[in-house]
Amino acid sequence: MAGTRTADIDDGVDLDVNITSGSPHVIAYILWTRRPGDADWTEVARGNTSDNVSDHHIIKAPLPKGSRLTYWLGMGDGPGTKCRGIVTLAQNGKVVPDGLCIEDGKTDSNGVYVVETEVTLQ
Amino acid sequence: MRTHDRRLVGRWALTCGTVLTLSVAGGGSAQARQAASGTAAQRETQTQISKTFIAPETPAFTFLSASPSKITEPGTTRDFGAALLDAIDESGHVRQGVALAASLHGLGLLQVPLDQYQSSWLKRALYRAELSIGTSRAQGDSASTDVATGLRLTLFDRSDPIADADYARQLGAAMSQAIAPGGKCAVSGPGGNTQMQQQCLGEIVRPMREEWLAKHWNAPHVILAAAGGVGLDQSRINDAGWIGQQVWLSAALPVMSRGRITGLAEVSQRRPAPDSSYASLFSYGLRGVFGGPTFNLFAEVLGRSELGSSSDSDLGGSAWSGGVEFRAADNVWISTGFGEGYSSLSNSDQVAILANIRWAVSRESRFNN
Repeated sequence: MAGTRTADIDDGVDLDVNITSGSPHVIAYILWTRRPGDADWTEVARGNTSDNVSDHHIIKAPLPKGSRLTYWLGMGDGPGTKCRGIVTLAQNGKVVPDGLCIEDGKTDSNGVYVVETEVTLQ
Repeated sequence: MRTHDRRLVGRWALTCGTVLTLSVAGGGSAQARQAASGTAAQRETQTQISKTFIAPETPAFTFLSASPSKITEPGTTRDFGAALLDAIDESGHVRQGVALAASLHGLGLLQVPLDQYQSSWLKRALYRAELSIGTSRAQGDSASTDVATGLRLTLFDRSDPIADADYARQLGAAMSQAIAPGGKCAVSGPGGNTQMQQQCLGEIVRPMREEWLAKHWNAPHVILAAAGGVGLDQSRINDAGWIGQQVWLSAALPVMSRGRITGLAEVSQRRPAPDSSYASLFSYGLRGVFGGPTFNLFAEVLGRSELGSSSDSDLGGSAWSGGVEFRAADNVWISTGFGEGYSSLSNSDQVAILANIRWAVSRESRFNN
């Protein structure tokens, strides 16, 4: 079951979503958005933090209040290790209020931790 | 070699075994903490077992010769402080049996992203630094308590998969491929079962890690550990006296692709009570292994000498042994050895042969690696 949280944004400005690791783990991730009135979720990005591809993803304005962003993180390394994934929501180069999303967890016996969180943009 | 010399060396060998037990059951690294089971985990477990001659994961407990059944690992500095306070009772006496282990990252004091972990030796060393604190009943005085603090530093370790940038890239690519549409663990939208997704990804991640570890089973490492302790008369915190310190240095070197030499040196200066005299000891162990998944040859030597004493010290001595072992079947190893290290099995000063056949006792090779 996905966790939930909120973040305050300016609905007329592009939203920069950045995924980084706060621990020595590889993170595979997926981002989806859903604007008010949308029938379904739209995938906006997927990738991982260990390649040479940027993990900054721009979600173009407008993002009406009440839009939702869901991020899915799969963190992998050794079993039973504490892991941290960081999702940062920024506009105009600054992190928006409540836009620093830290996901702490512990990998299972196979070395994986998966977390999914829905952020309501208000 | 005198019988009691062998006992001392054997006792030190037992200490190595204790170190291993701690590292598997409650130590610091994730690798060591894995509750491995079944054939799939065997190779990784063997890699753990291979580290018999390794500096202790929790040197404070080794210093105290303690094997705590439960080790508290505080997740924040506040929890850490609370755990320390909890070690002292209402009357100001230190409780016995306290076992704490902590790391900077575990306490939330250090954040090291993957790229920095791979590129910075210092950050990697700090990330893997482990502090341990323990208390135990003082020798010969049940009312008094010994308290020890230890630190373990991994100075160099090529057997850490995630420090390998190529491995991390491959792992990331494999995870991305697995969760892509049509992939083994395809994630097509929000609201999926994260537990099932995690389980599925584990079937990708775990074999990759095990394969990497199997390929790097003899990778080099250098680990330093140190511990020191005080004795508290009647367990009173304000009645403390230094009882000694201990330092371990372990290293491993590969010998081509099929062999490895592992060594452990230990210097200790201890006294049973704050008002007694110190005994300074130097102990060492060196093991060479050559083999593979079903067959191993090994040779090892353990030694100990008393520092600053005359040559006829009762505490000196060394013992060597060598041998061979075969994997008879899954989880069944037959091993036999010869040399002084095996002589206790036959209670003889002479060579013991075919003296250590073990059926279904060890699930993995004792001597492998």
